[in-house]
Amino acid sequence: MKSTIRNVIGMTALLALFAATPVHAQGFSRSVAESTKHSAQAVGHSLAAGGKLVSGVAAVPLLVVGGMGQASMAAGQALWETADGPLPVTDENFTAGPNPGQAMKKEEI
Amino acid sequence: MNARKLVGWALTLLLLLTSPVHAVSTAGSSAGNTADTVPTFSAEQTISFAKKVEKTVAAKGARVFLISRVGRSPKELPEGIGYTHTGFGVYSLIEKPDGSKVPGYVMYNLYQRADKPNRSDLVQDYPVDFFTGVFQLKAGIVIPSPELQKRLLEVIASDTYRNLHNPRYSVIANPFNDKYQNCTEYVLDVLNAAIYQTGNMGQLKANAQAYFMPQKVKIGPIKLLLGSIMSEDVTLSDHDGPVVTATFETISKYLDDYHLVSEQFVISQ
Repeated sequence: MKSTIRNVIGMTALLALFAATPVHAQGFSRSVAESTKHSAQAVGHSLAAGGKLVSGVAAVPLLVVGGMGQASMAAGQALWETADGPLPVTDENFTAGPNPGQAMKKEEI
Repeated sequence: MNARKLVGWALTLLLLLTSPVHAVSTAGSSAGNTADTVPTFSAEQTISFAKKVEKTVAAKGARVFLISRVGRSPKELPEGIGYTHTGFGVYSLIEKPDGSKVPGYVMYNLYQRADKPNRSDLVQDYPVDFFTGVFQLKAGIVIPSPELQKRLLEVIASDTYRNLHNPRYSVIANPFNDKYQNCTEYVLDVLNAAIYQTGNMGQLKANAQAYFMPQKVKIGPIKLLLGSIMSEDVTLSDHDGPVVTATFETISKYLDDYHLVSEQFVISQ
């Protein structure tokens, strides 16, 4: 009887811990999501959506110079002053690289 | 207490522990995706959808917009919450490895850390990254009014954008104080910084209390309490009364109520 009770408590605690621990599940889903991203990167041919998946090195918002932020810009003034109308967008698809810590670990390998 | 009763109590406890944690962990504000979801889309499908989103908002001339995704099954989410992560899309000049530059959108996010879910970082990624591993290829979009877009871009390009970030993360953060912050509260803070042209958090919270209607988190108090005990990223300590949080839907309504929306819609696969 005592061993039965002990077993039930132990099993329930284990099941509860597994079910209620988002970090564990998050790690699993993140690893699957990472594999999807890597799979996307491995696609070397042009896709119907338009182009390869490439790593974006850097990006600068295209926005208005002046105003509160004294923001820097690159060729955005003309774009902003276009009152309406569609904006050009590349057909290429980008993905962010690893974070600096991960990138450093890759370098060390 | 006999074994049968003990099993009954144990199963009840298990039921209480499993349902609220998954339901409460709704923000799904992690890079790549949320907890407990298995991506069901191929790389090609994700890339194609991401480009569809880009082209759609570009066709409407959006320089900056709000965007949300569905990281877990809607059946698992509390009533009134349909999206698990919200960020900004910003029209940008993207530099490629060969040094050439092309126009496209960059996503500005607040993400939980994978190894420490009660902490967050500001992370920029691209539409493909944003939709990798989602439960549904579906995006909620709000394009702010042109004037609000201008102000938003100014905030995003300034120190205010980083200064508004509070790395203490709670998935059900109270948007009316700055004890904790989730992705939607952060989006609200940035929006209000743009609207009121101030980075003063006290002022932003006062304005939010006056004008923003949050979502009441419709989960029983015992379940919420158990969730806060079992999950690092769930806390009740910033709530005094009913548990409320900001959501994509409540932010959309807030902007709409005050005539700050140019267009809002959903893009599906």
